[in-house]
Amino acid sequence: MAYSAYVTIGAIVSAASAAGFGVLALIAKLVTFTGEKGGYTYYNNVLHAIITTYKGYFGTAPIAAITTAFIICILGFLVGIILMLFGSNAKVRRFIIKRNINRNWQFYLMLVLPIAFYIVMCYMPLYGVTLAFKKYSPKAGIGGSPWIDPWYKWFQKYFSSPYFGKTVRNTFIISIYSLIAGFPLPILLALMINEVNNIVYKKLVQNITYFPHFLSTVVLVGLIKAFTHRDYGIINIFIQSIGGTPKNWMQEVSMFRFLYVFSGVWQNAGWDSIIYIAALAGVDPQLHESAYIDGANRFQCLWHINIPSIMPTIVILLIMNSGHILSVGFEKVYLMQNSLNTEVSYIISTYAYQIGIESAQYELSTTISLFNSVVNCVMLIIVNSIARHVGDTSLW
Amino acid sequence: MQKTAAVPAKKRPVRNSRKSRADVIFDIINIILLAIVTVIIFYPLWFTVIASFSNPLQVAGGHVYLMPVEPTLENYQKVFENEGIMRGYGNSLILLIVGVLICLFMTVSCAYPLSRRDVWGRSFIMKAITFTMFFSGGLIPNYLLVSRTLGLQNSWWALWSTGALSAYNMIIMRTFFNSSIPYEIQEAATIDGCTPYGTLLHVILPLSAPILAVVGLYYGVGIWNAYFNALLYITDRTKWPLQLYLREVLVSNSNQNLMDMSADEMARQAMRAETIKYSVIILSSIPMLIAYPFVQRFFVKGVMIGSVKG
Repeated sequence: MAYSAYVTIGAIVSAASAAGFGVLALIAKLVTFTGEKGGYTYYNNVLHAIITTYKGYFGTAPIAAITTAFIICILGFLVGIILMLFGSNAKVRRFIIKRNINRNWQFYLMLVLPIAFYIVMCYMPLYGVTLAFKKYSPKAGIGGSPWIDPWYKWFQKYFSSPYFGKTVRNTFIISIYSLIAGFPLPILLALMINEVNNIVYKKLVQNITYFPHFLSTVVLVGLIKAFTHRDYGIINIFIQSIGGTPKNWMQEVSMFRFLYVFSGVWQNAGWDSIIYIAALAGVDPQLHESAYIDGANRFQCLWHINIPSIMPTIVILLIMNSGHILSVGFEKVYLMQNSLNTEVSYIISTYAYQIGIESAQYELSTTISLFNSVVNCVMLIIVNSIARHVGDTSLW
Repeated sequence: MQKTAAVPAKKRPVRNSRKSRADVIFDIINIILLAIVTVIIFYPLWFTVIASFSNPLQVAGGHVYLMPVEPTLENYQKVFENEGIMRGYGNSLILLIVGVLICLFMTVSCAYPLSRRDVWGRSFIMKAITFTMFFSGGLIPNYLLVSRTLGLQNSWWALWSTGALSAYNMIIMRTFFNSSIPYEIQEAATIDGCTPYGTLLHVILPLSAPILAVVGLYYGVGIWNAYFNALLYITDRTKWPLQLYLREVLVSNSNQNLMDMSADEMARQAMRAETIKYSVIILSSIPMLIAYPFVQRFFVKGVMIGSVKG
């Protein structure tokens, strides 16, 4: 390429980005324009009409598109300016040639949308965590809201509320139960499936046990409700036929945790076993052969070869699961909640939802989420360091 | 896990001729236990199917065990008459098709450049993306961003844009590009004059049907089954996805019009309402049932690729 080619390209890119930025700013102004004040030009009126029509079809979606486009323009502008200023610099040119950027620039073009997605959707909310230390005002937005005086005010409010102990305890108990019941079963299932020699039977078992994973949470809770219905549910009909008394399981405080954990195991045991089945497929068959020659039976092979071989997988998954010890999913618990089982069904995530969305106390809800992720992070680090000291497998 | 695990299972040494007594007992116990587990998992599904085709009174009376009793399509007819479910179905189908296309486009255009070792800065970008897997803003900052800053309240774009790219699926796809497509092929394509986009279209995508199927399935199942984001962002009933209508029918138990009936009629109505639930469940799972046989053979492969990188 010619000596000044990069400078020219840089100038074009930055000029185009700046122009795009200007157009976007104009559109953004019009889209957010409420139209209360009179006296705009004919041109503005036309654009405004177009945009209000567009709004009618697609809601206010243009704002999101414009935000993304803004980010892209800023990125493009930066790249253009850098090229324009330093394109004639020998070092920069050498860098571009060495990294093959002149041939591979399309790769960077492909990355533009994903990067914009991550900036808008993942990194912008991260800034919103500061709400835990602010007094939110809807007009000023998160950035313009004032900081609160004792910075721990919301934390203090959360820790002193009666729901704090209750939600943490409930979350912790549900999580521990799920881990105790839900962690070993997939391993057992995988070991059992691995021992089956009949390929048809094996496939049948696998396909049936995987399937419940694909049911939605709503359907799963619907199934629980239908099966445990006091009058018409099959479980209660069965209990009645053997002489027991039917009861509405969904409204029994004592049954909530059992139903939650059991349905979770029913849904996911098969799917979770896939990873162990895959790990077992990688065990060297020569180990089995030599063990057989040494006189080992099938069970001994399983105990002394298969289980130690998948131990690293087990440990890594255990560490990862422990990292989620205080993050019981919102979806299922929320659906299983009713006025009679709140004593055991109030967990951190449903509490955060209730406080944040239903009562619009944004700061307190953010504080709860923040507390939750900090605890999860600490748990992950602790379990990982235990695993590193006890065995030799760890995440890092 | 080691990469060697990706090697397909080698055949276990067959020793039918010299099975010991202990091995035979082990085999029998194993098969019986597995059969029990499979039946426990299968029976609720089977019961749902047969109950949906049976007479509601028979289901509620507890006469349906193994086969449909007094087979009828009445339950399904009732579901088709329910305007909400049908509207939700249509909405969810649009959400699913457009959503999966957006997701696959975004995932491929993120994973492919990051799988190339000649792209400068890819390890930094990977780290920045992995970071988002562990730290997120949480409920409220996301909600405020989507509904206030971006103004997507009551728009399907709220659902499409929040889930447009999952770091986990992106890493699966990137690992596939890295490990299953020889770099030499891509180099050869470049030498023959392919641009990066050309290489992607003519070399990479034709070779990655299995991974597109798996990742597409993951996204599709996620979109079809999700209700939380819709609960947050979609307040307009006419735009609700199927799962929110299902929630009303299956979970919230809205028996509105039972007031002006005799007790007998009321009980029969309640039985019907209970049995219709089974038909609703079957209908809502149809897309999954259709996709399942086609993609199930890729499951192990997909999970394996994902697990190699932890």
